[in-house]
Amino acid sequence: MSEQQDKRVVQECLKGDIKAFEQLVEKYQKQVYNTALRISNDIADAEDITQNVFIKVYENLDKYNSRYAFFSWIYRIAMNESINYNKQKKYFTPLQENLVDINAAPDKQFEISENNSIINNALSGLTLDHRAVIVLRHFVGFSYNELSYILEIPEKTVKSRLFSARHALKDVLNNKGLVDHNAS
Amino acid sequence: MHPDIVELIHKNIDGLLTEEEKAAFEKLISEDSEAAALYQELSQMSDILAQAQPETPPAYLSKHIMNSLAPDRYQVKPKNTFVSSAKKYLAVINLRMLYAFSSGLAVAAVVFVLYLTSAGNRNVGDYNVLQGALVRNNTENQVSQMVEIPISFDGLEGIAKFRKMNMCIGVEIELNSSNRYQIEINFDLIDYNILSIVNHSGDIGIQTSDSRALILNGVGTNKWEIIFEPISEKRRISLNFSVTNDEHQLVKQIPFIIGQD
Repeated sequence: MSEQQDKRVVQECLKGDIKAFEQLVEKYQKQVYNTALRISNDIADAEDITQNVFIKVYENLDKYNSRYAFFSWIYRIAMNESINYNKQKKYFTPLQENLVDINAAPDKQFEISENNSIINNALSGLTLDHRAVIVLRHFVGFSYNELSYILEIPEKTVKSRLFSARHALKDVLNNKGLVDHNAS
Repeated sequence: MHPDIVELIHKNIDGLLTEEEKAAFEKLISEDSEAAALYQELSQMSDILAQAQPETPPAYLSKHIMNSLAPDRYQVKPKNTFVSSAKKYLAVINLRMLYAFSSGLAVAAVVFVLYLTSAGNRNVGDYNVLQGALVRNNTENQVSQMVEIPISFDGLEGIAKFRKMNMCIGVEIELNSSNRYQIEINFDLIDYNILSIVNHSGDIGIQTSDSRALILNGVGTNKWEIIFEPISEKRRISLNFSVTNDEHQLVKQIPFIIGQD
């Protein structure tokens, strides 16, 4: 579905066709879910964040400015939701060591690949602002300009934040012995 | 380290170097071992991130999302608006009808005030079923079942309501004599505070609870209602519900979950 098709579906939703929204959910839920998972490092939280994001997207469809890509707009909401959710959560629960929720019913426990688990645990060692910029740049591939819109900060700040986030992540991975400048 | 090299390293990782910048970058890296080490570490970091594979969200997620949307959020308004309808009907209302209408309004207002004054003293009877009651008849001496109850609300307002609301789990036990039984309820996926436990036979059994399980001991046929407040933000409640009666006299157990309207 192209950007133009997204905008057409938005118009259908605004005319009262709630079923049309399912096309947007199917198209973007995987990206939103994975972003939330990288930020929260928790499967159940990622599900909740994803659900909240789409509810907010739906509730605010009439405020969507079609000058911007719909995809970027969803990410703007997803980032705000992920960061706010995790800010609230840190006051109530300790940091999780791994991704699998031991309280979840067996059929709700999903296998996370070892590589993803290493990456997510390393990301959880960063501040939320650093996590956000790394996820959006490295996993989604947004440009500096798009990051500026999504994170609502000037492009210059995007660059300095991305650079310092990379240095922080490099140090975390270095401490885990995963990066080494002596390695060939 | 040369002040420009850090920016050039990051631009190279992002694949944004121009030909001219690329030449300057390679020259600086070859002359500065510290910069070369930094570049190598950042490149390795970038390679590790590039290996990450996206996870697949659970199949039920899109259904949960669609069920959470307010269906009338963008409902098309009918052409026959309230104002035009009112004008049409007002034209045929005479004074006698107006008098009857205002009398009716006064009665409704009195009823509404009475309702408001009684609303502060809610009890379990004031709760409504959120998710259809789970009914299971059983003649065995022990029943056990895992019940996962997804709760769907309309939009954000509904979610906020869930975080604030009190809920009630209940069970009706029917035995064919006055024998003892034990109920065990394990709470999964949510944290909770027990607010009160009501036993409608008046015979309060021994109750023990820890952070995840609640055990109730009862005698004979009766009905229990456990009122609690969810303190997590999860919108699912999973109960592992079991009733044990050693005398093979359990006729029926009906677990249900209800929430304050």
